[in-house]
Amino acid sequence: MNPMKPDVALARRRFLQSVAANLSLIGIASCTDEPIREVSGPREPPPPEAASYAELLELYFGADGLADADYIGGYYAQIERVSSSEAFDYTSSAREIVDAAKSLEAAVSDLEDQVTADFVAARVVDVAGWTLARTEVELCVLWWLI
Amino acid sequence: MLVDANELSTGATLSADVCIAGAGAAGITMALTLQNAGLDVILLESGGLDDEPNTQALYRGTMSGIDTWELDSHRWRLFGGSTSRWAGWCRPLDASDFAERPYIPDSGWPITLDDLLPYYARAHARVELADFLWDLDEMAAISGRPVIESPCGRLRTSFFQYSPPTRFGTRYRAELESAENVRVVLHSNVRNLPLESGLGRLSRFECATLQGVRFAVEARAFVLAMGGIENARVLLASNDQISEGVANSSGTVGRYFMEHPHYLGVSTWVLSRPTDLAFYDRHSVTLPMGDTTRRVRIQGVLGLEPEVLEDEGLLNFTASLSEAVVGPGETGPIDAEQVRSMVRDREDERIYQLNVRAEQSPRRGSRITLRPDDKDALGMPRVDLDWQVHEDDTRAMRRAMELIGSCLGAAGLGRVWTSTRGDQLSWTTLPGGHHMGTLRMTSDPERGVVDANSRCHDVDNLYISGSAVFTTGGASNPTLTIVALAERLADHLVQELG
Repeated sequence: MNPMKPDVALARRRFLQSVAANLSLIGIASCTDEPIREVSGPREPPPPEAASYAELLELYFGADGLADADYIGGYYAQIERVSSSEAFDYTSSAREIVDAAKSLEAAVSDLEDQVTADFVAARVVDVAGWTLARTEVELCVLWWLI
Repeated sequence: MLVDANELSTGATLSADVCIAGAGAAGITMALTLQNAGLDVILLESGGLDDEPNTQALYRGTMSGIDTWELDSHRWRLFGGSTSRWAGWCRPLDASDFAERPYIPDSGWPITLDDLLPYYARAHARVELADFLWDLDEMAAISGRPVIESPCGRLRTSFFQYSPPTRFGTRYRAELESAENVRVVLHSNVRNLPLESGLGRLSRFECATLQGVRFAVEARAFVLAMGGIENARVLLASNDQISEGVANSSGTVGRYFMEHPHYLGVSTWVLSRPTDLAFYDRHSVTLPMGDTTRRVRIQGVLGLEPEVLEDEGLLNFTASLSEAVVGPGETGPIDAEQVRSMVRDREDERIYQLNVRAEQSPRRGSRITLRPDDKDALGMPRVDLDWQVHEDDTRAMRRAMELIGSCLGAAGLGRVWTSTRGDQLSWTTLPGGHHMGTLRMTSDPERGVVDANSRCHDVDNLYISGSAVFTTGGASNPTLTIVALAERLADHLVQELG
């Protein structure tokens, strides 16, 4: 701290320093687009065929990741204000990969490759500030529907 | 020789081949090079050898735009100038920084990186770095620490080198003091720039001390090297012959003020795989320096490849990394842990913040103006700084961080969150304390103040040295470029006057 500065300057600099020291707090105060307070399930039942992907998604996300995938998928669907059928349509690319695979394990591997390919091609989706691969968002939405 | 202007007689006139106003990085560099070439130099410094509150108060002004550091708190008015406080961050501008980019209005320097490269090498010596070595592969090999590789082809790692930092006033005082053809005149404030009758040449610097001594300096060439705000201030305030001020036929003096907007911690990176990020820590390496070596601290930073910036219409930036603890709610409605648990084959628990230092687009309305009714102790009008950052810039930065996130995702290194609102970056804009662009370098006299040789378009024997001439600011701290430009201008003057 420079002893020669006037009080006003000192106060301002201290303020800016405190800003720098507390950036995360200040940033959060202005970080989101009308954040959703609570993520709820789909209003209408999903198309019946959605349930056929449950086993694959359990394998992909693992038991520990399912709740978070549900939340992220629900958050995205709600912020985009899509109906269940629109949400299901949104997941078509991921489902095509799964449908084309010879086994669940192969589907998981293909999905992993597609997630990487999405990032390589910058085929990404902003979900509440997170840069996520389009395919993984589709999978989250699909799990939320189920 | 070192003299105090308070010991001069009022009415005295000094003369030299070159008179430089401002003994900071630019002024001292020029004086050293000019004196080595045998030119007679007067180097004027507003302050003394140490901090002086009354002198520092001459910087005071107001701010009507984005809040930045108080104007008297990030530039230092003493022998050595702001190098008495700088942190030593060094990095040349990128080649693309000099180019005209159609998506950035008023971009495009009249010189290229190649024009400046020989002077960057000399600047390295001035700021006590080792040889000019900026090749990433070479530096990474010397460092022995890996850099992040991503299959996306967009991610760029570059690095800063750190000057000790060199305090120019301390480091070069003895050399200047002992030089027979240099007179350093302390406590000298340039108050007015009278022009010769044709208005195309400067006749003298009119100077004053806070103790009331008035004197003048005549020279074959004059250089203003007082900083991005003060240079423009004295040109605008010298308005008794031309109401718009000196060198201001373009109306751009004081305009296009630029900073390096800092968005510290704007992005959070949830790392999902054990990764050696030590290259991105500040660390020391042994670098070649002529026949010997020197230990220099370096630090890796992330950015995007220049072609990507161009294709996407983005501004340049660098992002340093700092490990962070991020709790619930700190990344908005979706927590870092929620995203991490979704990533397959996760193995790492570390979280980093990305600290962005960005270029801003030059905007005519971002400017300093004089406050005629608010004068300093020398009777000079104080300035108002209206620093503006266009919303297109923060939109571009948001996209840039999204691309960084996609690159790290492509590398299998986790996910990135960025504070956004709509298509904008949403974060506190901090200043870097870098004052640039107010006397911009252009080939067209109607669009800027100085030409490619830093000579004022309107005034044949008046030159500007320092970041005021930056046409655009790039994403590198300015001191190394300031010193390189000063070396280049000094060479030009040696040729012109030699």
